[in-house]
Amino acid sequence: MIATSHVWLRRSAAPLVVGALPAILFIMLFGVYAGWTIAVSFTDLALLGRKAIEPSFVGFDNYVRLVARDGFLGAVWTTTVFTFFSAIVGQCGIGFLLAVILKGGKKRLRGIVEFSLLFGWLAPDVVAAFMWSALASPDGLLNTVILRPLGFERVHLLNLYAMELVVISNIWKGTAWSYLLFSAALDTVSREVVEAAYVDGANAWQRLRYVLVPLLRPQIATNLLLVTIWTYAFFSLIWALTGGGPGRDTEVLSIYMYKQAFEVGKLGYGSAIAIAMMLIVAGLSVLYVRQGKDALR
Amino acid sequence: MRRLLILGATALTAIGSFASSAIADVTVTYPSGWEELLEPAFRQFESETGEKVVSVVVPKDIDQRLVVDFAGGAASDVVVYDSYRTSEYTESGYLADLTGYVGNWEDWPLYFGSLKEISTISGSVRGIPNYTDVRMLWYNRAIFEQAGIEEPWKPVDWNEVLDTAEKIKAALPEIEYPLYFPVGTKMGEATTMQGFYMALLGADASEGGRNRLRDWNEGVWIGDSPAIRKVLGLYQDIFVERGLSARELYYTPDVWGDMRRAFAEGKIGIMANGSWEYRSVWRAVGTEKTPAEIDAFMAWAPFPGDGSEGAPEFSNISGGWNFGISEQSTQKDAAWKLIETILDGPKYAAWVAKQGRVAVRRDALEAPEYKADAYLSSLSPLLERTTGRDTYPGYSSVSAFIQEATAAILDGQSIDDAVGAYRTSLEDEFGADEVKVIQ
Repeated sequence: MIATSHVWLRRSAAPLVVGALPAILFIMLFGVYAGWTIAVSFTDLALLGRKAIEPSFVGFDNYVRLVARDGFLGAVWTTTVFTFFSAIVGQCGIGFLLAVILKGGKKRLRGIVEFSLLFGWLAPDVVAAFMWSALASPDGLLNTVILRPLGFERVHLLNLYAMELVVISNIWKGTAWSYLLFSAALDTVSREVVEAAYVDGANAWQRLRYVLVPLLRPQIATNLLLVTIWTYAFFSLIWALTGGGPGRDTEVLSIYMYKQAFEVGKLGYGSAIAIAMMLIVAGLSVLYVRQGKDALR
Repeated sequence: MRRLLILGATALTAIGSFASSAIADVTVTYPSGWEELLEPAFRQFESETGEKVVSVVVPKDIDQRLVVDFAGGAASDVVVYDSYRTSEYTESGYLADLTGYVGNWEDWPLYFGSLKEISTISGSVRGIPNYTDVRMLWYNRAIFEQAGIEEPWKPVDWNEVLDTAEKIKAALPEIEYPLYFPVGTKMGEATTMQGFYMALLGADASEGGRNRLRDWNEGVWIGDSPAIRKVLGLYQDIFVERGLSARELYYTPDVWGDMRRAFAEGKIGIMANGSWEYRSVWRAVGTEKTPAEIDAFMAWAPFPGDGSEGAPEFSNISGGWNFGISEQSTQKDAAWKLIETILDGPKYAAWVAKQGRVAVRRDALEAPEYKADAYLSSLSPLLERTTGRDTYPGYSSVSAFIQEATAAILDGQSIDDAVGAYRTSLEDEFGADEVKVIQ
């Protein structure tokens, strides 16, 4: 059962299994919840009413409705836009650039930037939401300190630019992670390689494009993977800041799922959304992991 | 040695029986804002019984919190819930039958019959009403004066409401909410009740459920009707065509607090809202105001119908909050004792008057604090002609679909599309034979 050449281990498989029991149980717990969600997604289980007590099997109805009804596909698009701009372009891009720029920078400057980045990262999501809401309100800082002195009319940022606002606030919130990861990764690149490129006449852009990026490709892929996964399922900041509105402007998948499961009360349909989200993220992960592997070859 | 064992066993048994005779803490889940009524009652209950009360105060979205607690088997012994959910909670087996308790309770005959009916499902009492409310259009008197609008304002139809808002917009362009009208999903039930349903009731005559979401005679939900289309048209007028309201207040992190502060700060001209706002606005801002000061600041008008033939002149709809005991509770007697302690006559009367809430029992109406309150007395005409929502099992899903339809209008969808999606959602949920269309 246990493949090992060690005689003692081979003879005492039983105690090993017993020793591993907590871990097995722990893993089973994940399996049970995932299995339960999959099972529920094929039923019309509801939070309230008759269907809460006697749910019935509905086959693929919930999955068909994901495509056939308004809501899900729109939320997929909103989530994709949100993830692309806030996580991939924003957090990863800005995090990477800051890490590169500050690598050789002055220690004090680096300290100040790191402190400000970390502040965003450490602020609880709901606090961040209230802060950004206050910043963006018609009487808020953005209007009174920046836009109006520049001669612009007072702008209802949350009315007109809700998506942009949640994207920016999420960049503010999450860039620290990417920055820290990339600056640690940059420390592993030996000076000689970069200097050799410099001696060969590569300019700053070429050094970045042809030396640093290829060298850091595994780390970039890993970071993209992580950031995409958690941004795709991100909930709290957007929920508190806009609740998915105005209208459905910022209704990402996690909010759509929450509304369907807990406001409308359709647990079955909500579970189907959860499974669909999992599949989308799994697909993206496969893509990233392949990219990372290619880089290592 | 044997003696020692016996002694030990006896001691263990004693500890065991002691532990099982003591009941666990009595748990309560209630919405924030009720502390003044509940906390003193908890202390009194604790000193009288020696039991401890553990409370969970929910700042917002208590409906969602309760339903998840119920469904997950983690509900408190005593729950304070929005009364419209009584039928759904009962159908799901979440609420305990209180018929036996109220039968022996001397205060029960003091409660008004109509409210008892809402809380009685198939002959068994499931909730004890705590207060009720009415709905109307509030307006800021200073804004009206500056815009040159005559008072007292008594609009006769929707057009007059929209035109008044238009006047405010023209005279005072800095007012971003000439007409605050609950919309979208973040306001939850408030969108359905203070906004959509108030308009719906006045949009058509009442035969065959023409001005409702459910036809009670046929026992079906209404997936499409002229009245539903008119109300969505009203939303379109307010938010899209005539721009009579900005959107931010319906989506901020603190939608209730921000709405109240905006009203108090004079940023809202007219506001579709409820009777509790007379006091709630000032509680949210943190200023104590005398009734005279409040009356100088704000006044209300009944919500008019749209003026079409047979439609009511004005509409009103009442809701309210109930105490209930969860079916899962293992100490229902103690839970009931706690509810009785909370609803002690004089204390309840003082609280409900101070909150500016509409009392639900006769002795409270007769209490001096309540009688002296001119505002609460002024609500009588609305209360006399009030109605309720279509609180049939499934209503909360229907309500959520309505909120989605109003959000779709904000998104710029056509009325046809929004109604179409609403009807499809109903058919998915209840089956096509339980949904009807009124031409």
